[in-house]
Amino acid sequence: MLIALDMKSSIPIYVQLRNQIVTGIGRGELKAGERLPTVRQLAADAGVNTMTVNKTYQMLKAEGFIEIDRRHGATVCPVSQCAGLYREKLERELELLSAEARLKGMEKSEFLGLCERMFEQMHPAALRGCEE
Amino acid sequence: MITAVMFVIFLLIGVSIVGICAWCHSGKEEYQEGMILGVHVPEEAAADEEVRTLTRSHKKKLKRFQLLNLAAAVLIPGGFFINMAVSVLLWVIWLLQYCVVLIAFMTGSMRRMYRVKVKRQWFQPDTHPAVMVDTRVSAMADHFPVPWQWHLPTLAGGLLLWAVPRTREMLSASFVGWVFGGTCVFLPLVFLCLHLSLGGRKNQVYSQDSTVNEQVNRLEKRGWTAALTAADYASFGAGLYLCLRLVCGGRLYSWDYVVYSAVDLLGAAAVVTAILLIQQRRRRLLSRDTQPLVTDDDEYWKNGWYSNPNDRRLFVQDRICSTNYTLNMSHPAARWWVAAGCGICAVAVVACIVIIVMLDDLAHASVQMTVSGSTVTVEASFYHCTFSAEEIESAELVDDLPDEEFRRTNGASTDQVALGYYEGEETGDAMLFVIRGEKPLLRIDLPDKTVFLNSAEEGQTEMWYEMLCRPQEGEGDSPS
Repeated sequence: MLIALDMKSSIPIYVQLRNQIVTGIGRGELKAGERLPTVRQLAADAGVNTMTVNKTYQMLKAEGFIEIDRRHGATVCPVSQCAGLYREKLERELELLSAEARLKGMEKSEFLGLCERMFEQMHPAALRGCEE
Repeated sequence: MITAVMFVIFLLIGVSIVGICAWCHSGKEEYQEGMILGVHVPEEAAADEEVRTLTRSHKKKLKRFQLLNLAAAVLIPGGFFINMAVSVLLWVIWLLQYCVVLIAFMTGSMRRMYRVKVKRQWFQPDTHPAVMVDTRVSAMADHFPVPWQWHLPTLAGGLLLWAVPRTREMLSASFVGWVFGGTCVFLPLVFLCLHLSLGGRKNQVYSQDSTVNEQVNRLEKRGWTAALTAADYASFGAGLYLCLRLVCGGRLYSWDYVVYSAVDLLGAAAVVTAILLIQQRRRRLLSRDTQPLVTDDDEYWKNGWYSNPNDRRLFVQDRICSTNYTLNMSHPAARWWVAAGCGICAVAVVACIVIIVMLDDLAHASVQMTVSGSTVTVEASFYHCTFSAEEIESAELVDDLPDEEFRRTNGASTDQVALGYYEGEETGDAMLFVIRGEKPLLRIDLPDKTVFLNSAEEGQTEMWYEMLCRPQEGEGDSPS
């Protein structure tokens, strides 16, 4: 999976990293059980501080997208059931997105169509041997 | 003999430098890896009339520049047979000129190409931001380089030389022992650091296909680290050979240095071969890629060098020659590196001028002997020797130096003269003030050393001999 970082963006690097890894897992570009680079390697390749990558990995771990093992490093977690906390977070974010779409004059059907198209692009996958 | 050796060494170095640079900088005027002359443009830009004029002119001028410098690399060492000192200075100035003009030439072409890009607005809307990471490649990057632990045996071997009392004693007894014993520890450390640095360099993203990225990054890291490992073992083998020869035989002969140089050159050959193979295979792999990634970070290269304040790296892969590193000029430490580079070049030129003065002094050296009271002084160039006439055990005129090898410990040896401190196999400590090819020589045996001297002037050596035999009559300065 390719990660593209925009160093000029106002979005912090650790957030960009987090969002792209989550999108990559959602799209199936990063499969469940797949190893992620070590913090040091990813920081070196992205040209950012190791603390930045560490922060991203800790966020992803807390959100249940990856697990960190001392021996094997960071690996992508299998798809889990939607937790209540996540549902609340999603609702808050959708509320904001809906408000912005409404204020920009977007129709409901167009907004829902866009959501549907994005959702259909997501096909989380598992590495061979991790399907169960 | 010395002149011929110098000629061969400088000729080989000069021709190799021009050859390798010509290889690395060739073909940049063609559309490669989404770029022409180091600037990202769409493929159809190659057919643009202004671009074609620019690339034609670049190719023609670069070819002429390389040919002229190849001629200089061959001709300047030829000057060693006329005046070595001046030729060495010329060679260093030529090398500096070659490096500076080549960089300026490539930078100029890149800037002109960028101006054409801006004029034509060849900024592609779908280009990706500057920093790209391929997670799959990064995750397996640990396995790309040859393990750094391969340098531990050479480092341990070097340390062992100093740990064993007998070898330590023999090595620390002479300057040569210190130098070669030291290199057996120092060079493995240098190679280890280089290995870690090149093996841990940033993984580049060339394609949307992770397999291509993996192959190219693996090729570069594996190739470089394998070459460094080979160079380390060759260098250590050569150094170990000299140290063991010194420990077992007590001294080194000319052919020992020949063996040392030959083994050491194997390592250099491994590095050069690796550079050429990496370049060749890299081009082949990337030319087969069906999903090349266009990463347009040209705004950071618009001046011809890299300057990106958002990038915290100091060293980045060079745009023109991918095996090279270049400085991120926005990094605060870059100016110190540039200053250090300029300083080293200035020191090299000053050192050459000093060498010229020394070699010129040696080339025009004349031996002088003066007797003042009972004190005899012999001097030539930077060397002099003073002793009392009473110390002289014997003095005689001989046709030549004894038939044995004289090892230079602190002296000068050119095709014209042998001056300074030497150590003979049988004679022991000796001071030579010898103009080569002139006969006879005056041999003076002293309690702690033997002095050999002669003069280029007809009859002068015989006159000194008579002065020493009749010191009471020869009091005062002698003509020289």
